[in-house]
Amino acid sequence: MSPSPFLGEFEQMVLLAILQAGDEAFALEVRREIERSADRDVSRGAFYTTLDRLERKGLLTWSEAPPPDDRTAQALRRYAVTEPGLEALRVSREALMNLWRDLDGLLERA
Amino acid sequence: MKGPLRRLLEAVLPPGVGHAALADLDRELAERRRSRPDRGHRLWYAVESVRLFAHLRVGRLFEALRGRPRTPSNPTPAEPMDRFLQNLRFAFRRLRRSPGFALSAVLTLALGVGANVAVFSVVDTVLLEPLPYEAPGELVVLWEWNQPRDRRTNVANPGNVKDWGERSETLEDVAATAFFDQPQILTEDGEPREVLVRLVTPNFFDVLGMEAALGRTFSPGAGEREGDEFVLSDRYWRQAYGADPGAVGSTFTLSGGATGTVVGVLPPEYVVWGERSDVYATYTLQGDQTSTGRFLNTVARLRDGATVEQARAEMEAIAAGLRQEHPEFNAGWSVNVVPLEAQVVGEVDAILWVLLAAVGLLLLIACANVSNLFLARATARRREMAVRSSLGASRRTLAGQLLVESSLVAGLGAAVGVAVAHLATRLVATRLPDAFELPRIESAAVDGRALLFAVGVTVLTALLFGLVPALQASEADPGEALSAEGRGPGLAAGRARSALVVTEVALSVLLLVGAGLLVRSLGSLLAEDLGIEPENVVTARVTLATVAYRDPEARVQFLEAFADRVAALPGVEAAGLIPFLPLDGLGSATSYWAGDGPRPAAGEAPVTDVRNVAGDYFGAMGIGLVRGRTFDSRDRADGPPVVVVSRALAREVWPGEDPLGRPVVLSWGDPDHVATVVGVVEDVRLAEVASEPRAAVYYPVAQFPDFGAFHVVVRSTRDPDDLRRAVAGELREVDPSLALGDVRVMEGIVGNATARPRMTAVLMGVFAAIAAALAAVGLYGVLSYAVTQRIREIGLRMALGARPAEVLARVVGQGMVLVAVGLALGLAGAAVASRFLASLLYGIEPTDPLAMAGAAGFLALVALVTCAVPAWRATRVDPAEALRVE
Repeated sequence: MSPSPFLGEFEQMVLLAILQAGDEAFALEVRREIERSADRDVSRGAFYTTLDRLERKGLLTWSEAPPPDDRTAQALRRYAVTEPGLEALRVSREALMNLWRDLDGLLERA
Repeated sequence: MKGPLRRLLEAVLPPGVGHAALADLDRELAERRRSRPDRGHRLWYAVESVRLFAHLRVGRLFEALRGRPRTPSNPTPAEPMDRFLQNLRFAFRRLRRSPGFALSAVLTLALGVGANVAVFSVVDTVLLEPLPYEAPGELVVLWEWNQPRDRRTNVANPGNVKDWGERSETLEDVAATAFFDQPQILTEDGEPREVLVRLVTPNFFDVLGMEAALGRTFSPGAGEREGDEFVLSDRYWRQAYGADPGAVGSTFTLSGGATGTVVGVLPPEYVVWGERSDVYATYTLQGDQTSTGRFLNTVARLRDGATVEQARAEMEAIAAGLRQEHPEFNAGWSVNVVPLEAQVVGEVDAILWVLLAAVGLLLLIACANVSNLFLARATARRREMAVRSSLGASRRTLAGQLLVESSLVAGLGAAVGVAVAHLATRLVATRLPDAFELPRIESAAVDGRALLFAVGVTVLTALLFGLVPALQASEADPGEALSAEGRGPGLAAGRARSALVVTEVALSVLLLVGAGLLVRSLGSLLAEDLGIEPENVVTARVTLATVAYRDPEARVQFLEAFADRVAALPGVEAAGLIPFLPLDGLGSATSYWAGDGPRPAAGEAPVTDVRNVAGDYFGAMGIGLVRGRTFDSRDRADGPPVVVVSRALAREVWPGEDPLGRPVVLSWGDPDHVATVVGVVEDVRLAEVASEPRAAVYYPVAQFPDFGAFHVVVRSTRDPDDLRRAVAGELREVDPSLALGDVRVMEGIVGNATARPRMTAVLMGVFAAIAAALAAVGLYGVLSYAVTQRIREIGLRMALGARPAEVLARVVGQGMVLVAVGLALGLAGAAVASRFLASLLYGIEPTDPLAMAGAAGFLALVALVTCAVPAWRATRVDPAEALRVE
């Protein structure tokens, strides 16, 4: 396995949101999680393209489960972060932490 | 949500993530419906799904075309759409690397498609589309048929037309129109202007099944009572009334004095006769067979269930009766029944089918050429394919890539071809009508079916031959293909390419022979002595339609005074007047015989063209005097009757004798008019260029003042426009109530008379030139490839002492063998096919050896030059270099 690829900002957000959503990591919930936490609109197209890309990179996986609001409805994709996905998150986080070191004062909001 | 939109989305979105996104979209929709019951959910759904599509599909397409891989290398098995995009990108790159191939393939396809679609669209509009009348298949044209002279399409006599209508059972109704427009003068705001009036029987438009666009057409009794009715053409209504609907109901007065009401305006569509007329007035069939001549165009509608054959049989029986009833007038005359549709296209039909066949051949050549290009490329890519297949690319993958590549070429070719077709059709529709006189041509537009067909054929060809390399790659042992590099093409492909070149050459010869025949025919047509000198001659029409000119003497006075005044203008050499110009479509004719010979039996007298002329018509038109004199002041109305005859008439009646002073009997105007021949002039092609000169008789206008409109003919080196103003000034001086119309230069009239053969020859020439060029490209491709493949062999030969001339001869010989086979096949085909051109040819045989030899020689020359280039390259091969190539 090649070293974990660097994650883009939005990729990180998607993976983290999946982890946050836990058992309810269906696409709609994940998207809402990002919108709520990052306070930004998420383009549907960009979101699914990213899901697709992360899946191809092997960083996330999915299984089918009935959606939380309607247990009788057709099963949907429930996403989960894979081990390589977690590793990629760790690498990214570490890199960012290193880069953030000692800069808190500089960037503190007035 | 399971509507059509949803199903469409399922079809177009990528199956994996796309369908997941759709399911989420449905969930969201359900949620929105729960929270906000009535807030434009459909619109929201539509907008969101389009955005989704744009992102997931179109976005990827652009990514792919930009050449930026969406996924890292070696992706998981890609879905078909992705594979297609990848292949498309790959194909673009490959084609950019071989622009020569791409350009020739695309241009070849475009030419084939463009020429075909344009010509087919024209043929379709002119020949195949139904006429804009109600049930056009039921309409027939009735001609009088002069059997002794085999004139099948003579205009008809009103008495005969009336009897046909009354006696026929198979014809529902018979209508007629005078075969010429009657120019009239209308004075508007003090300016006299010419209006073309067409006389038609009141039922004319009913028989055609034409409704008025505004108002109505004629009432059944129109023309029989006071208060005549008039119908306007769409063009005249726009021109003179500014398209005012109030025109209907207004009063209309002809310069002849007739007054009536405008009852309607015709639709703009084509009318079978009188399509240039401004105003239609009623004409009632009257009189009998003895009081008038033949001057009607006749159309009839078949009764329900009646066939053209039945009508023919019946009309023949009726004609037999009329022959017995009026032997003096009808002996030798029968009736010819022609379906209207055949009549309308009859004259151009042969030309258009020939052109269609020509572009069909061109399409075949184009396809052969594209196949050839693809085969050449296939051979060149054998190694590439072998490498890729030995690296594990499956046959399917390779085929897919090649398919996409050839689709791309075919698609580009088809797209450019459609543009060419569109342009060419517009050009034909807008530029051709004046010269070519194709019925309905203005409405020609690119035909969808033709487009589909031509694009289909070319795309299929490209796809088929584009696949060859894949088949080769999968069949050949990669190891062998790899090691065989530089050793000549695959045998099968080589043979196929040679066969294609032979085919191309043969088809090109066919086209070149056709073009050669038409050009030769045109040459003999243009070389004909017309009997006139059209250079520096301007003509204009003067219409004597006002009441004053009902008096024959007034007409004669005016014509002579006007001729004299125009002749006296500075810079004018001669001026005269005549009712019908040569080669202008119309004319009058009558039967005649020698006054000092036996009187021929009824219906067997020969026919002569007759013209009455004023002023120095012969001098103005440049008609040479052979013997005797032309007309002068001696030839008064009360003087002894005189005529000038053409050389052909003199030869026919008094062969080897002096015609001067001999009497000739004519039944023009009054029957058995006897006149003395005072002069003989050169023969003039009065009706058409492509005909033997016919007998002609000229009267002095003073002794035959008939016809209400004359063309003034002026010979002068002055600028035509300037001359027109001067002539119009003289006309105002003589009679300010008259107007000058239809000003033309005689050279233009002569040019129009040969426009069709000229246009046909030019188009065939262009097609043939393209064909020859395509064949040359094909030949060049085959030979230059062969030379490249055999560089080593050639080098070896040269190292062993072969002289360059020998090498040159070998390569040229190799090419010329193919050309010779193609030439032989093509000439054999041409000998058979040229028969179909026979009806278009004038003065030469369809097997004209010069055209055949010319075509073969031209193509051989082109081929020789084409062969020489790769051959010359072969002689420049450096043996040492060549031997190192391995």
